[in-house]
Amino acid sequence: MSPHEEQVNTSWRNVYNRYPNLRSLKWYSAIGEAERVGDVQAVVNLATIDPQFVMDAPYYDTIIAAPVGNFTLHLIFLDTTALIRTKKQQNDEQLLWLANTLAQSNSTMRIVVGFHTPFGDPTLTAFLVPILEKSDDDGSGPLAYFSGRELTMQWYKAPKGTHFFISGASAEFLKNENPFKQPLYVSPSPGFLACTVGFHEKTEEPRLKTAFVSAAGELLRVVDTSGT
Amino acid sequence: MLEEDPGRSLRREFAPSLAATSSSRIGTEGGRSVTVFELESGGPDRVEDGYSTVGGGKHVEAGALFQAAPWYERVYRRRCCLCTSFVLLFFFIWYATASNNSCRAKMAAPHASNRPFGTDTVLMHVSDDTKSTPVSNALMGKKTQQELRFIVVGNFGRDGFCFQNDVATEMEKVARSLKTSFIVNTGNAFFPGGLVSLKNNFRNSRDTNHRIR
Repeated sequence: MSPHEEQVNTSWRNVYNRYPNLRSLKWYSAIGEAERVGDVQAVVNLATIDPQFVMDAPYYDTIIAAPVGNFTLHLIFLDTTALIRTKKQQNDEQLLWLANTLAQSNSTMRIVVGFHTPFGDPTLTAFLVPILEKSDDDGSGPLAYFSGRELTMQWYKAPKGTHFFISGASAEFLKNENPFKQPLYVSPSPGFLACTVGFHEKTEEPRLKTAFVSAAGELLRVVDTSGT
Repeated sequence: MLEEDPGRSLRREFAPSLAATSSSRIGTEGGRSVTVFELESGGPDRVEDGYSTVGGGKHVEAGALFQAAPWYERVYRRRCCLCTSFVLLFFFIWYATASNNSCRAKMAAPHASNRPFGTDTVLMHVSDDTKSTPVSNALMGKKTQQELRFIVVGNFGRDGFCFQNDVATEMEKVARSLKTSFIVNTGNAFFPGGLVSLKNNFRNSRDTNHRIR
């Protein structure tokens, strides 16, 4: 069962792989609602055919080691669409897996990626946010949570300290998307996020710097998770 | 000779269903509508364009015509106004939708190519060769080696339409200046219906793949 090659080419490969610096990069992918409309197994099979596209399963985790320096980044990808559509979120397999993965993670820092923002959906607010908050209390919380459903770029900081970013305006853009009640930053134009994970120069704490870059190449905003 | 009220016969003309019992012939003669009533007592009784021509016949006012016309007749006479207002309404709805949608709106980007990716397979090289950009200056710290840098994109699988090509060009610049290691995709890479496996192609293309080519 190989996926529909034409769709893969027009949507993804032809657009990005003509750039020499993007051709060599791997795409660690979360599954979205559009992929759920089609054949989910075909998307997972694409990862087995094309090493550039990484998706081990609808929800999975991967550990990336820094080229120099002794730290690792634990990337956790969720299938939030399935989480919303199941009827028994109480003992959902994926939520148990997420709590377990966060608790047992030995990496220096963790980042969670999901299609939906937990604050944009009442089901996720009820079941996913407590897991993230509990891991924050235990000290194994993620540095940031990236999502992409809304056609906008936004930043929000939860009271417990986790930073929530939306990067969903890489093709389309809408001005009136408000998944967060009080976002700290809303991008005025489409674009993408450029991120750096490293350590603070003085405190040596892990930190994430995120830049909002517009489609015209402007640097809109830089967010530093270590204060300021 | 004239035994019937001309106004009543006119009503029959404009509402023929009511005059089903009458033996009348309706036709045109020289560009005017003519109704011929064949009465039992004598010859044909002619009514032309609202005026009876029978000897000494009564003058029928024009108002009687409009009173007799049913509602759909009146609406039909005003079809021009109706069509115009409908067109204006649809245009307003389209404009209200399009003004909120960046795909149809223009954006001031000098290098922007909003065209979809064509059949050419030539690699596109970004013209300016600067090693450092505002993004790399803001993000790269002093200990550049001990950093992992990446790009986060989402909702991009639009076949190069909307801002996908513009964003890809900027991603290339950032990837070169930042020396990014990987890309994180937050979902919706294949619009609008995801991927379809070749094995179940027929069933899936009918049920789930709403793509129009």
